[in-house]
Amino acid sequence: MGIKAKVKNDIATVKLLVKHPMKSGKLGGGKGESKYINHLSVKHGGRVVYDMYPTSAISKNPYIKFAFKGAKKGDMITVNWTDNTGATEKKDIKLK
Amino acid sequence: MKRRNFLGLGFTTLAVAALQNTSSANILAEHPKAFNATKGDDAVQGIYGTTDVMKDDKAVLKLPDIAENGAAVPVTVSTSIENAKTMAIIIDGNPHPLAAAWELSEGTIPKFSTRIKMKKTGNVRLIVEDANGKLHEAVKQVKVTVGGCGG
Amino acid sequence: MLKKLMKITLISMIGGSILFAGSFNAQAEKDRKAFVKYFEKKFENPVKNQAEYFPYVTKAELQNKYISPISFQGFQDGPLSWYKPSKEQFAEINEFAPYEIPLDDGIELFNKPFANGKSYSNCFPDQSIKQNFPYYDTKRDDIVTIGMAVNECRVKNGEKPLKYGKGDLAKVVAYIAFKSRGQKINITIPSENAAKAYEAGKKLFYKQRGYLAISCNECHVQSAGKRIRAEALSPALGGTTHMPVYRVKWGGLGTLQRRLAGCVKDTGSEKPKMQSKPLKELAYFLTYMSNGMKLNGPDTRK
Repeated sequence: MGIKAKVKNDIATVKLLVKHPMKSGKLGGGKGESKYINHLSVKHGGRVVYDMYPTSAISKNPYIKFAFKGAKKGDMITVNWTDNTGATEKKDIKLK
Repeated sequence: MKRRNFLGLGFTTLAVAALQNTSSANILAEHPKAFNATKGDDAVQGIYGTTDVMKDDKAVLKLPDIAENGAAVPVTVSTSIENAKTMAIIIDGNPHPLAAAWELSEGTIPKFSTRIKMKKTGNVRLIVEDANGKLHEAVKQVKVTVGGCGG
Repeated sequence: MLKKLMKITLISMIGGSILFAGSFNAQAEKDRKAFVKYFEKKFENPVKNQAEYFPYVTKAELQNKYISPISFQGFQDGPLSWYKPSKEQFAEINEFAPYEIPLDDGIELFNKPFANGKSYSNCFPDQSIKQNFPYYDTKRDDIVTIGMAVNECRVKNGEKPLKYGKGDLAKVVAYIAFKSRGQKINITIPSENAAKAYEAGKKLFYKQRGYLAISCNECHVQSAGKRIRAEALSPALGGTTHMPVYRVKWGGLGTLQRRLAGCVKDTGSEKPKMQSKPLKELAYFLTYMSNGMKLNGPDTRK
């Protein structure tokens, strides 16, 4: 997972580039594998600051950008995603 | 009871956030109509129980006029509405128009960017659900061509 | 006295060889300067020069969608150098460029040791080298591309060569390109045979061929700055600076030769094989035309 996260004043701007094929399963006459992230959420200090429900209509290697208030440099955030095959990834990120 | 489906969505979200390892099968199981809908309006109906929208300037959709490549169209969605509850992107020309949905949280700035896949030229719609459950819509037509050059 | 004699001999030899090298790229330099002049003039003031260069483009489009003037280094962005909507869209996409993922893989591949314990670093202790490729190897009388150099490193160390054009090879090249960013392209023509190879590449560039009977020149020189439907045609000047390129169409990286071969096929000729003589000659010519331009690969395109 590529990460660019910084804090200015008290707003954190987070950009993610998540390695994931985001396949609909429709290619190959419908016999292709369907594999796409269907939930991606980010927590900061115990509360959810980003909560997205993507589908396979989100491009391969999803780019995610969002911002939230109440952040300080050095704070940690946790990114969590699951896909429709049950695969998951969790990553802790330090805000610069 | 316009919020019924998304309320369930909200509950599942909290559960996922708390446990951090729950699959989101619940959302898909609860809203097959929305996620499997083949028409944009059915997707909206499936999430919100209505297709009544206000076409005002409160939902803001940024997209190019012509997509460089329909496989990765940069999009930014935002709203000026305070305490909006949810947002959803509907791509009318896609086999399953519901492209993504967001549950909004306090402290989160309601402005998100991502890249979407568009099968063909058509409308992309942003639906923003405000604190009262009313829907606001922005629409933009994006042209998608089949790229010719370079193998 | 002997030292002084040696010094004089050495200096005259070097001087002689510079002169020697200079005489092999005299025509190429003429071509290159004319090439650059054409493009700089074309994009100097599209609105003013509409009749000469852009007769079928509306004044409104020239005013609103064209970037001008374009500096010499500005041409490094290909179609994005002159077409504003494309430039803006890719600037948005590059907020977090798709190539970052295969580039990351490339960094890992470059640093991973071979079975014999050595790695690419042994062949390329300094990775800031892409500006010299492709070069003409006078010993073997052949053009050597960066892809070939990567594979020769592998074979030298007991590894199997990688498939050209894409995949892992493109990822390793992407890392070298990344480390070479900012370096000015410096292709040399060190011998008569090298000049012949340059001329062969040039001939290919200007030749009308295939079932479309079209030449590279017609789209990428004469029609650079115009569109074929939604395709904004890129100028040939600066065409090689951003390789290897992440194309959204490919969902991955591709080398210069992959890009060229695809276009040759699309214009109605048989798709040339990677590292084939005509394709290398074309790459050699094309890269020479961009001498002096700063490398900015890898980059994102449609």
